[in-house]
Amino acid sequence: MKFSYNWLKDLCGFEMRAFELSEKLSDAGFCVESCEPRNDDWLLDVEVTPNRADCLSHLGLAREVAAVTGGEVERPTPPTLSDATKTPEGLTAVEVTAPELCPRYTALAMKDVQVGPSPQWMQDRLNLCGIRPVNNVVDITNYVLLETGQPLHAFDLEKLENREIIVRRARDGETMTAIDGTECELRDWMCVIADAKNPVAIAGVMGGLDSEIGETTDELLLESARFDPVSVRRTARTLGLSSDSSYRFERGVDPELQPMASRRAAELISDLCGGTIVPGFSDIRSDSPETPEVTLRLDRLRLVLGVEVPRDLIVQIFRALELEITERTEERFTVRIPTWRDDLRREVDLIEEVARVYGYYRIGETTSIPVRPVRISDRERSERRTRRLLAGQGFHEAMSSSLVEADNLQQAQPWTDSDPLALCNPISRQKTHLRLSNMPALLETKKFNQARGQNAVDLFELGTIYVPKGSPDDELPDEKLTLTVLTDREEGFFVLKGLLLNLLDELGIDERPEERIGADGPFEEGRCLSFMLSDEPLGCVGILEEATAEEMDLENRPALMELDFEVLVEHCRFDRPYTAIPRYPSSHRDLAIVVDEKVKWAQVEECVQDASPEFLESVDFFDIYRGEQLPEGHKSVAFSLTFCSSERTLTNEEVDAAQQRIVDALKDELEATLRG
Amino acid sequence: MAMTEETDQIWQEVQEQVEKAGSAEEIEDIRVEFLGRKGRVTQLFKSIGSLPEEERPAAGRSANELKGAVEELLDRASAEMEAAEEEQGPEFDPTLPGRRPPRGSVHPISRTLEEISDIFRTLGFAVAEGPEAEREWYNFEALNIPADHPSRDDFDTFYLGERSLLRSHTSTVQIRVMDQTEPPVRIIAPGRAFRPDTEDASHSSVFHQVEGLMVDEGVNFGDLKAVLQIFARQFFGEDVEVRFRPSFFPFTEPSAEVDCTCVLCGGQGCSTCSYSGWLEMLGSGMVDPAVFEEVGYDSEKYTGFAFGMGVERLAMIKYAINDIRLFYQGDVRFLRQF
Repeated sequence: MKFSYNWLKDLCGFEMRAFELSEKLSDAGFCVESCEPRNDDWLLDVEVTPNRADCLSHLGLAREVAAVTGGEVERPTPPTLSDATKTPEGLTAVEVTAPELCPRYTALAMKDVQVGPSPQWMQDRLNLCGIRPVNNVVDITNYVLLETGQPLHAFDLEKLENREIIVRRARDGETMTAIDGTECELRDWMCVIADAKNPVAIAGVMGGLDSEIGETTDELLLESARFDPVSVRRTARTLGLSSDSSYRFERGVDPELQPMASRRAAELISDLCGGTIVPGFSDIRSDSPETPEVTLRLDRLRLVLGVEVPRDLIVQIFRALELEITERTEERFTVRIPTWRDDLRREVDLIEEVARVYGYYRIGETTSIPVRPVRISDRERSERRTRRLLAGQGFHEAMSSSLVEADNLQQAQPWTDSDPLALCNPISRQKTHLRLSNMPALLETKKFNQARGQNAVDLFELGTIYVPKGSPDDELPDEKLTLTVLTDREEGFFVLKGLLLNLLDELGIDERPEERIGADGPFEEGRCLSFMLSDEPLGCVGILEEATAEEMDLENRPALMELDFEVLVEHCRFDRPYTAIPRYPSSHRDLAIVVDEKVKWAQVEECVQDASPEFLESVDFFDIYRGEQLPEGHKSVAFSLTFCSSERTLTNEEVDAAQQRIVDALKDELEATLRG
Repeated sequence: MAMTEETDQIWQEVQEQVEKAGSAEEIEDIRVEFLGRKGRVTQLFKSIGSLPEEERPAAGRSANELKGAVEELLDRASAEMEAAEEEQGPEFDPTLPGRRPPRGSVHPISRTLEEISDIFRTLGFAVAEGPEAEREWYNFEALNIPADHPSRDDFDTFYLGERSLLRSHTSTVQIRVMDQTEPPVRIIAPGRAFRPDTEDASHSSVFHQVEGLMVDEGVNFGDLKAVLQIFARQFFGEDVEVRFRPSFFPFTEPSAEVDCTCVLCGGQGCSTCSYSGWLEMLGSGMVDPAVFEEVGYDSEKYTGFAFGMGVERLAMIKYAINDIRLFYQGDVRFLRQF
């Protein structure tokens, strides 16, 4: 809220320059966001937190100013009214039929009012506080709002049908045009101020156009009331209207403030608009505000703050904040909470009052918290190792939004057949659903880079996907951490397959994934695989399908891999015992066999493994050759065999025999012949 | 004597020429010049016949010695040249640029998250997790934020259903942890949070937070200040100052907004810190007894503190990044800088 420095000074005599005051207020919890000179005054923009509605006025903040400057608050003392118990003369009735929405309603009437511009000093203060001057009556209601925090509304009394006021629930479908021109359709849970026929104001939110104060106004009715915060908030939100009044009612207004604010406004209207107060004053209330007592134990204060605040300082703080001390012993203080401080109900609330006025900066930064060893979790360690490994191999980690568009690409993933979960209140057309895969995001990232001249990118993302498990109100989605990798490298498909093996090694996983041809993903048919680890789906790898590449205007088709990272974490083993290095030399044999094009490497490898003795250490593919020397529809597959025994040096004869068995098996099972 | 002088002179000349020669080819040219059929040494032998009888033996000896010495010198020089030429091949240019093996990068947000959890781990805080898609109760009521209350204004939220939402802060994990564990508790909860903010240079609808919570007997505000000061100095550097300002959060009381001296200007005032010398770093406070009541902790016996920080903000301060959108665009020219 915007405050006038001079105004605060008028209400609380203190000697302190604006900048120093700003600092002191900030230290006490009223953050002064800016302090700027305005003519002969200063504008202080103060952040008032939602728990301190009592400080949404100059009088309210003046109490805090008094606490930090040592000044004293001087309240305005408007004259008391005569005949304050009867309905103002000239009014037919003032009634409240919805007391649950309007705990207190006061009405005061004035006549012979001269509507015109307000004096310059008042316009200056309103302008400084960000309120546009309208006419003297409206300006006075706003001035008193800024001064006391009590929202007021003035009606043109002659425009009220049957000169009466009824505070009631709106009727469903009833309408009213607000002062700002908004056409409001009302609902039966909203509270309105009505005359004999129609609503003339939406309670606590905005007045109606028909009864507003204008140049012709002669008689007026001044409303000073209190409305239910929740109802005002819901009404303002539903109608899309908000005002200085609704802002304060939502946060709560001092339940004892209404008569004083009304008299204060009447005093100013008499002084500045020549009006006279009509005898009578309606004050209809169903509330009974509390002024509870709360006790502060000094040992508790010490325990929570970790510091000893001197007793006389505590007394000083309570006095400045107008918390009347009703009981005082060696161990405790009991104070009475004023009606405007409904945020103070518990001991801890008082501890905060003492702490913030005393100054957080005076509380030492010392600690003696016990030592507690914490081990990094397998999950966190797996994530870190994965990031370092991929970065070390040339991949950049990207992060993308969890919110996506529900396009076909989202469905091209191996994790679920469900549609992605939708947001009830999205804010952009591109971010309406929760992602089911990170492959689309990495493709978008590739496209983003392509548009900026970076044609070949290697990217990965370690991010959560959200697999629906029904309606989110019944069951929250399964949040699955996935690792997604995209590469534009040559033979990218095989680079990713190799990368997976490096990753398994890095995470201490000995098991090798089982591969299945084909996968659910945005992949070209026949150029993709699914992986299983211990019979659990691990993920997939493939080359991007042509159609998607074209649709996205990609210049090439990258390879993509997406893995269920949770499965990897389940299998990780960081403290894996080392395997003894062989003591005996190994023997190598290179083989090139000619097989039909249809024969896959996996078949060759399996056949070799099955036919080999235990001392086969590894079988390593090294290339495929196709050429004129080979029979049509055939290819030559070359690989090397490594034999090694942990018990002895193998003889040439043993290795030759093993090799022969392998060659025979390949011939029998795959019709393979040895090449040249 | 004249002969000896000539021998000496030839020897001198051969040595000089070999010295100047730069290749095996040039050595061969020298060989022809001196030892060839019309070479200088050959001529010398021929001239011996014209000498008086008594001088001939001495002249012959000295000519032979010269020939032997020249041959040896040329052979050695030629061998050296050939060896050098063979070894060198084409000219080697050591100033050609190095060939870099591919280097990728770890995202600045990941780096920042790792750094934060490392610092807090040394202080005994373990990492806890909770879901991003959450029940409304964990995001609001359990944290003392009632429905239809203005304190909800700061927590605009994406809803998934009537009672389920995307958490608007990681404070939800406080409740998840306290629901399942008895004190003492010392955790941090890093993760994503969501708010329907229009995206601009300083707002993103998806962002990261780290929540912290410590509950035990006797935990006080001084402990909170000490822990956060240690954090700030570990994260930004030893000379960083920390300031605690009273503030309001529904789930802490007393509450504090924590600022650190501007990392860019060292507190002198610059455009990043709006010439205040301070940067808002995080929100914190002592856990409100109402929160303890929700999870069934004895608020008379236990006290605790909680804090929450925006990871993007910390990373932006640390790496002087001025646009939050850079984190989520995946521009490799940005990523490769980390």
